Amino acid sequence: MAKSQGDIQSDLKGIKGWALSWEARSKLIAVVLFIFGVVSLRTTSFACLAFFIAVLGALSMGVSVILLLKRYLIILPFLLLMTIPLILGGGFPVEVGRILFAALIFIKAMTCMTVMTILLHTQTVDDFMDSLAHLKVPPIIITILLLSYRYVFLFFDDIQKMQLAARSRFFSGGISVRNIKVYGQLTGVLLIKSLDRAEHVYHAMTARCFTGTLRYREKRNINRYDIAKTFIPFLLILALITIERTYM
Amino acid sequence: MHVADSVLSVSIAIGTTIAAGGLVTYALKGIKEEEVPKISLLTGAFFVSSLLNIPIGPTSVHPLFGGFLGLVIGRRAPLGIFIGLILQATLFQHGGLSTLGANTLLMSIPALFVYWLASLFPNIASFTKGFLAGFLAVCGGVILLVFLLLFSDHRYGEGAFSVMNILLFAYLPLALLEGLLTGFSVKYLYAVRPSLFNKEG
Repeated sequence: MAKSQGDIQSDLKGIKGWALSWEARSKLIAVVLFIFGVVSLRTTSFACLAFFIAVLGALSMGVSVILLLKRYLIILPFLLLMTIPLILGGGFPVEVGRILFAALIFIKAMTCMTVMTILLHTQTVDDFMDSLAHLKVPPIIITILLLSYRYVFLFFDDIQKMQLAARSRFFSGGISVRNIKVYGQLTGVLLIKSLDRAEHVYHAMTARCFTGTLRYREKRNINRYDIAKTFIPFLLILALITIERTYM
Repeated sequence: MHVADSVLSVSIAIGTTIAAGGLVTYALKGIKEEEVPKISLLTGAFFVSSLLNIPIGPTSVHPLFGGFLGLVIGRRAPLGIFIGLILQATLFQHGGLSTLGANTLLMSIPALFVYWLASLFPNIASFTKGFLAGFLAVCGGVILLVFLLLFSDHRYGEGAFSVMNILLFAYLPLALLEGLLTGFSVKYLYAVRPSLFNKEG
């Protein structure tokens, strides 16, 4: 489990300057378009090409291979849950069509994960949050997003203290009804403590003229380099989709 | 219950994104400034819940708290779930961007159903209310997920060991576990802080 903001916050060491200078909003738009483009691919060969482009992009930005492999491990269990029944669901002998379909899902998911890794590891979380704030998203959503993000670290802290307290009382976990009752009550205690803290924070904020909208950093202007960096992946995925639809 | 990118077809991904946008707009309607801390806090709790692992043998499960959100923040639940899922997708890569809409619907619709059910039967015992909220939220989410998978591709439902069947069997014990956990949690909160469940609270 993450312990502090530092554990969640991306380490930008090794990330190339051109990736860091890519304006956060345009980066987010490029990632969303690329992911929807990848999802719309229909053949494994073109999905492989998209994966190759994404990995090449990630490596050229300075994202390490180790980090990419760690990210792939996150979705591996879920993908296996989805793809193994797909392959074996038709019985034996296994149909080639099913293997190809499972492979398509697998490759596309890996590609999307690579692109998400680019988004999250070539900028700070604060940059990412600011980019959402400057994308004309309703301010109330951004306020809740930013406050929730801050509360998360308070929860981490409290959870660790409570786990330590439970362990010191020889609580070892498991799924007996008694233990679930303990987990349920611990959750309740955690909420009450946090709610009280949230109330105090809210009163402090209203005392400082909080009107439901948080202030953000000034947005950076999007320059022609940012537009070029956004258009290149968009054009690449568009080209893949067009060629696939035309020739396959 | 985090559907990863690429599992759903692009048409389903776009359709669910639009529908989730509508649901979040509904949740935002008439929101008051005073509600922001409570929603934010419970959104944070919803996000953190995915990191709260309960060990079971070689693996572990985590609570979802969709039903719990439905009980506590009512019609604002889709907003909390949507933001919690954004945090989960972006900070820990649980779920995906193209499936953000689908994941929001999978958890928000049962949460709203729980809220509606709780307002219809206000006098149920707190544990039962919590149990039903947790259990129905997970079951509702799985049923919706099965529908989305079948609309995406019929192969998800083919064969005795299909994805659909495995999901239904795997999530049944989890739904019971979620029900118990939510039940005990809600019972405790009703005893200690009943105002949490008031609309004004």
